[in-house]
Amino acid sequence: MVLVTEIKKNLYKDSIQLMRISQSIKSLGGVVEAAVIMATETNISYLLDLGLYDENKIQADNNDIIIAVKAENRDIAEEALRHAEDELLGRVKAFDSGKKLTGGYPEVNTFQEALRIAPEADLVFISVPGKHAALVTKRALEAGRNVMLFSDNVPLEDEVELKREAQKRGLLVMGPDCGTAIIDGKGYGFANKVRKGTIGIAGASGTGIQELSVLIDRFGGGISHALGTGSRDLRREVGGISMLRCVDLLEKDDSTEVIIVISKPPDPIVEDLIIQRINRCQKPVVINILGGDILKLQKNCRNTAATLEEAAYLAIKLSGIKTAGEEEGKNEKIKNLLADLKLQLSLLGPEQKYLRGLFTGGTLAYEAQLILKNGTEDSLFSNIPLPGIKPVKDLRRSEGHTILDLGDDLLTQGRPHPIIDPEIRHRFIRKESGDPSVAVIMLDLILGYGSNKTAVDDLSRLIKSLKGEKRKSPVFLVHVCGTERDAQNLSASEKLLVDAGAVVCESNALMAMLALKIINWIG
Amino acid sequence: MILKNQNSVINIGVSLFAEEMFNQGLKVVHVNWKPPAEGDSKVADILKRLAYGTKGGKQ
Amino acid sequence: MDLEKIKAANKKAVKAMMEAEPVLVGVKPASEVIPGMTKKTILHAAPPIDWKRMCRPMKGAVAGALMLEGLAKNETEAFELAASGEITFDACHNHSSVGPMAGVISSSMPVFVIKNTKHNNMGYCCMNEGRGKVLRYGGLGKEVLDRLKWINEVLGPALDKGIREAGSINVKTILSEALHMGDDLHNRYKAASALFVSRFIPHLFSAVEDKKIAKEVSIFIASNDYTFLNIAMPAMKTMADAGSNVDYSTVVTAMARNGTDFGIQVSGLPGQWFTAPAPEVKALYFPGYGLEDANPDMGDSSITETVGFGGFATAASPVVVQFVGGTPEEEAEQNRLMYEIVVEENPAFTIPVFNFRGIPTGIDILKVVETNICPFGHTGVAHKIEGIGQIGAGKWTAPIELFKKAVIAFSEKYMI
Repeated sequence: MVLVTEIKKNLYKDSIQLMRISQSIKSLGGVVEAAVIMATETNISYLLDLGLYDENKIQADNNDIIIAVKAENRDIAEEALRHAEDELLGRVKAFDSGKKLTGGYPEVNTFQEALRIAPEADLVFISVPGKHAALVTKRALEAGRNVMLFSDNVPLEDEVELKREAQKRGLLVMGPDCGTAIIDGKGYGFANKVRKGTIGIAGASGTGIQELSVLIDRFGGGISHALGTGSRDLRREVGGISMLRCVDLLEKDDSTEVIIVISKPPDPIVEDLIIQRINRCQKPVVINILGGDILKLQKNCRNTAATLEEAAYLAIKLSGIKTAGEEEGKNEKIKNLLADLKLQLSLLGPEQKYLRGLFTGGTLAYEAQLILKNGTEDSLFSNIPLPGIKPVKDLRRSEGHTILDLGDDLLTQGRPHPIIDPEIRHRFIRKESGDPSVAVIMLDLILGYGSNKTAVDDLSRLIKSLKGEKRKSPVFLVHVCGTERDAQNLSASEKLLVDAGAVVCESNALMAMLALKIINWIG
Repeated sequence: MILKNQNSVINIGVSLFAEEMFNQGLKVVHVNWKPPAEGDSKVADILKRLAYGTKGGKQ
Repeated sequence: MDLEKIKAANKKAVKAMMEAEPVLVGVKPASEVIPGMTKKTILHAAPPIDWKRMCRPMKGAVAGALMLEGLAKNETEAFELAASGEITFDACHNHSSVGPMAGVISSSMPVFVIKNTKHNNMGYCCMNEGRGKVLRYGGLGKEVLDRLKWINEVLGPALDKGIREAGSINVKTILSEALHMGDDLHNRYKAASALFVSRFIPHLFSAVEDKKIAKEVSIFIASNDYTFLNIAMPAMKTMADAGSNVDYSTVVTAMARNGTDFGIQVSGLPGQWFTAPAPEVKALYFPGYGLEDANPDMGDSSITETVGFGGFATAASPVVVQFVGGTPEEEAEQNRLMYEIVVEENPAFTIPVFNFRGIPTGIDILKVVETNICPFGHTGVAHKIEGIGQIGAGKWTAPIELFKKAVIAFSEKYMI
């Protein structure tokens, strides 16, 4: 077995391009393991995990690219290295032609060129590294276009500057860290294909918007538009600039009849601003502050919801749609699911008592914590802890009940988001499944645009193999955040997972409530 | 309507999203973005300061 | 606000570049016209460089010039003298001059005298020797020296007479017409040279009494496609200089290569050279030659790109691909990219295939670093051993390092 490593300096490639190159050389005959990655801290430990770390060769900094290949012999390893180099440099030709058309759409080198080809475009979708987002966004605003800023790790000062500028120009900045939007039935970033309808969403959380939209679709409703504001919009410094603009836009939009506003708890001053705006709104607004003071909200607003699921039901009711599976059916559903689980639960050993939640959607991890808080406080940990929940001490070694957001900034530096590349979650699943104290593993599976095309198959296969091992395997709860219209198809996905031995829940809230019931039953 | 034109988008950064938008029938132009000065952060900061009119002062 | 000051300064600098009116007014020995020229001064292609670091072709050219000046009797003596410290080396650019390839100018050499009649600044360049074994490729030996002597004694004075007979020769009109005739005005000069020669010869014959000399001279200039290169280059130098020295301007006023380093100058940072190792040229080689034989990029001729010609007008010269490789479509795309990094389009010089769009003029270092699009052009490739000559032709791209350095220096000077 031979390990070869090479460092490429002064070369920029986004993490998804690198992922594709890694995959392409991994598939070469005789290659055992390979990685082509940016040399971030997160990635160095990834190399360590894969046994690809050669400390003599690694003198790289954040901007460098590492190619590491482990192969059966030196010739194969070096061939793979060359192959990776070709792919890396192939796109950095000294004389890149102006307008390529490889994917079916024109590719250009500068924003100015893009404007010349598409002068009518009113939206610019930006996913450059966070520290560069400000300049790129500024150019888009200067050109009078709205922006969806997918990038995370954008400095707060930059966000404030950008939104003030957008406000001055009458433009909208969705983001930073805005992962989801739906406009006129088209999905931007990570988004599901949902029924078109009359419910509009203005959200400060990407996967929250996704979950809302799929639940509304499942319950018989439809989405007019879903707009993201970025996760920090409701902080004092930002002042809710984008949220207010989104509410304005949805209020003015002819196809929208009901609006849902979702967020985590805002800064109190900003919260009051938003509440005032909502109460002035010409259309009914459902306000869903996850983890907020529900009593205060109920006092000040007409339509409030504590979970995403409740918000979906409420919006549908307000839009006049009759739906089966009302909220009252919730307890019934949980009872039935628990009954199905009786056999699996009886096979668990006495040492198996903990829950591990491995999420790819940040808001879903958050909502899960909210629900699990009551009854697990002292032994609940998270890497995005709610107030009162303990922070995870070591990501490599979970303790007690742990909820992880695997899409958190720290884990995604230089790596594709787990919705795009679920490998990191698979590693966590294997680890947690092998932990003898684990009784339940809780997972969200996000379908739709931007998501990994084989995620459902891969996860099902993994769960099946883990459940097939002789040890007492934990219970797997999965919530599929998707619709029948999504390419991976909701019901087909759910069936695959059930066949693999998982228990499928129709909403994230339901899954968390079920998990809580299980833990209490075990304990 | 949220946008003046809801059928056309410019994508800057990761091409995966350009593909996903294009496959939905949107008109897409993809910008093969690279960091200014091939990643030199000093230069990137200067450009940013100029764009925003903020003062950096002597370094 | 800084950005506004920069925009205004750039507009001013490029306006001056475009309004310049370079005119050929005569031919004179370098010692008579070039500021700072002495008997022991050797000027060469920029940026400034020590004898130790000079590439072999340039060293060869220096040796040849020292022999021409009678300062050394043979190559060995010439090399010793050059290394001794007695010779003053400097870049042509620092003396209102330019020279193609090694660009060596010594005191007795006749130089074209260009005057920018709009702003009154001057520009100078040596004569073009033609093809084969020539000084600008480091060529040495009797053939080279004899030709140089003939240039000193016959060609120079004859041209001077003819030019003064004509009064002066307007350079801009020839450039403008040649651009519409398939010249790129860096590597392709057939049309410009033909236009110049056909208009100049009557004056030559009129002014030079010895018809044998007139015939010799006219055959020499007529058979050299690059005759006009050495007139256009100093003219473009005067255009660029007209735009230099503007406070807050980020416009490039010089780009040059000396076979070892590549250098640029910026209007708002007068007197400073920003340098980086000269990159390899992406070239098509003559049979029998390859990359391993090539000298790094060399010459002041990138002054043409500095004011919007050459690579910046290559779409007007599709034929150039026969020498440098590629296709006319690729050239046009490359040309289009250059519009992304400039301040203006010059209405006086237009590219027919772009619907008569003006050539992209005034490279902005800020745009270069933001877009990562670097100025490019075409060039002949010299053999790395002195005297062998041209072994191919291809494309150069200015290293981004130059523009990074310039932007950082700019931010320091103007406290950004």
